[in-house]
Amino acid sequence: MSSSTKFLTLKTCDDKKFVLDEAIAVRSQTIKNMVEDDCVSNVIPLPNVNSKTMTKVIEYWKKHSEEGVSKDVLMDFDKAFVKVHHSILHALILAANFLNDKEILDMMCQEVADRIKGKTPEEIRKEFDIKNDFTPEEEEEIRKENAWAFE
Amino acid sequence: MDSIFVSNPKYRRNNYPTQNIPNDIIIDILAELPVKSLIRFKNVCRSWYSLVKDDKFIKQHYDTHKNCKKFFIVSTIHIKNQFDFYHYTMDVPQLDSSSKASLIESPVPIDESPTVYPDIQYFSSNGILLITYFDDIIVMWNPTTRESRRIPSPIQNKYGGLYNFCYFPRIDEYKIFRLVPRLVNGDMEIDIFSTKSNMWKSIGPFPPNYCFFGTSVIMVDGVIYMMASRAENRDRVITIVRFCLEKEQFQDELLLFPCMMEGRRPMLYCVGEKLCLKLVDYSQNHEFWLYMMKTNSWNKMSTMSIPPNVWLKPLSFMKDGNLMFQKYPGSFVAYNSTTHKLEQVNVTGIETSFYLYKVVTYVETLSSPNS
Repeated sequence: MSSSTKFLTLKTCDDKKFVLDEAIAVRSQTIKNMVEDDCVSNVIPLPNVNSKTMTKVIEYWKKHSEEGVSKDVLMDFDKAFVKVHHSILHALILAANFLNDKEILDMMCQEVADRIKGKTPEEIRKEFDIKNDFTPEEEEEIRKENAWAFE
Repeated sequence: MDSIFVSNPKYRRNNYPTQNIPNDIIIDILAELPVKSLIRFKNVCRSWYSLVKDDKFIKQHYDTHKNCKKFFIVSTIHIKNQFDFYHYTMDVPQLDSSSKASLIESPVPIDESPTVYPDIQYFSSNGILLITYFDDIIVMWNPTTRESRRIPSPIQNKYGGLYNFCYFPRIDEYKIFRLVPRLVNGDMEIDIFSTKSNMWKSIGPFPPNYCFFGTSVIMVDGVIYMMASRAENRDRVITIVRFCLEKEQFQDELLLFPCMMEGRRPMLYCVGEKLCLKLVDYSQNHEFWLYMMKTNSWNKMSTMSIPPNVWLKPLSFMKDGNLMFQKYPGSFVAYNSTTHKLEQVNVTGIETSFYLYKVVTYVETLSSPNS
């Protein structure tokens, strides 16, 4: 361990603490801004992220910060990384959004898109908790107009 | 460097944040979806219905997908004294994987008369196809949403126009370009249609000191390129005439190096938004040049020797930067710059006995030809 390594302590909403190399933590634009503005005296609170989600994020950050890791290995890692239950997927999106990590956010959005692209409107409403505000007649009409998309 | 996980069992909880994903992220997710899913998701609720028709979202979706190029393919077969036309779409094929073409219905009724080979032209811009069937039926069509718009027939008394078109985001309209010989003396004239005015207008003649001699007009980035010759001293100089379709005016001609032309037949193409010139000499050596807008210069891409009965039309760039070609009569090949050989690109779903009439590159988009 070199003496120049700086550590940051991140505290998640469930009061768990993660001590992390600053060079890795600044993958988060939000943390980077805080470090640059010199407002990280001791502990960085992450009120929107829980420890289970943060563990996943840190796992990703570390893998992608490893030296000499090949593109293929990273691709396999990413493939496995996104294979999670949809509640974790949603939590990771919210965390990546709060931490302002575009790389994780884009990857997760792509994963959600892949998962929902074959679904029916009914399944989508359930997935995103959306209320159907069409009348049955309107719904039928729109469906008829776009029948080919339901094939 | 390992992190130290400091656990505090007193606060052990295992709940996930229950708040919903913010709207702008939902929009980013939807922008990743294929058009077909989005058309289906119009049924989810009113706000999703409006989103799929929203200009800003349509543009975001287009930008997200603009590198996922598709081919629109027209193939024909001449049986029982008639021409049958088949239309297909497929992902642009690559060397390392095979692509499957799927049949799609044409929006233009084609009279499969045995007497004349129909003059049908196909072009693509902003995910919309322009299809001209003689000068009678002109249709703008989104092959993905299947929405179409009939364009009024151009100014009559002239026949046999060469068309092309382009979408101009700055003025948010499509302009159709038509180069057509005047009936009286065969001089070329230019007509333009714009989707905002929904009208054709005549722009005037081809520049008088130039003589158009191509078989098509090429569109690259809103500029029309046409092969032409002009008299210089006693010689005829071969050159390229440029016309800016947005401003509706001619630009300086685009010069070719004299050494490029010696004894060679030139053909112009648009490949991957670049102007491409094919030069063929008498011993069937093909040279492909790309025009670099930034440096205003020509770069030679490749030279290849082709058997006499083969005809190559450049279509697009492969992932490795090499050219993919439509090889007459009916297959796709890619040039391997290491082995200097043409390699077969695997495409399934199209009858091999069919003649590949036309291949157009496009992007799947929600854009409406009627907006």
